[in-house]
Amino acid sequence: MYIFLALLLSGALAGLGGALEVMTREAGRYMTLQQVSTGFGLYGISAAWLGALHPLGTLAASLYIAWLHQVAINLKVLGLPALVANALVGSAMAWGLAGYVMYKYRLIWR
Amino acid sequence: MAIESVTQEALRSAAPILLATLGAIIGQRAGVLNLGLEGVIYLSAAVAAVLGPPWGIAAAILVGTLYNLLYYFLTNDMAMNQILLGIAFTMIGYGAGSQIAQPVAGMPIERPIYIRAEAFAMAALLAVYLHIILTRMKIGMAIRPLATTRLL
Repeated sequence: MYIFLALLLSGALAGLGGALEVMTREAGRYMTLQQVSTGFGLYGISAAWLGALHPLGTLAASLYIAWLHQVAINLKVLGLPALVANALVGSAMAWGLAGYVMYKYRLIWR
Repeated sequence: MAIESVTQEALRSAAPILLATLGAIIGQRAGVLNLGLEGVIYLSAAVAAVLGPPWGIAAAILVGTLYNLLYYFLTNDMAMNQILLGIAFTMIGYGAGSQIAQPVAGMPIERPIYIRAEAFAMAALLAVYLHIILTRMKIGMAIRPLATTRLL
């Protein structure tokens, strides 16, 4: 029962995010659905885990992920492709996982 | 739109899906849930697109093997979380692949290999061979008890 309610709530929040994505663009841009970038679901998982699944932590982590996304968009000036945002966010999450392991355990080479 | 051309196109595009699924099957029989296979496909496709038909296939196989080897090292030896690292590797594969394939992006294919529906037949043969390996040979018998999910 509670899992059902939790999934309903998560879908509602994601729908709100989709609405904000379209409605908060600058005036004068076209309101097309082709400029809505796909792959934001994976960004969401990364931001949720980097924030340690706490709402306030996710606040800071999603700001970081959004900053990485904007950096990658602005890197198109140098000629890099648009999907390099995925690589930046993915490497941020991989380093976060490495930090989590190094915090809990200590590596011993045999 | 004739039915034969749709079926042929469906068979042609089903071959990469079948090969990736076979890779995932071996992994899950061995206890590894590799969610980074999408990044492996994208990175290997980018390498194969840059290098062309003769050497691209061998280079793509080598790149996919090395990427999975990195995933195995980080998951098994360093004990990172499998699912989250798989998602991170998917995203890294997308970014690295799109960077590698940038010189050839958007250009028409120069030398395509004229295999259409036969690619699926070759992949199906590989599936049958994999079934024989997993059930009869010694390596398959050693891999199968390591599964962490309950199978049929």
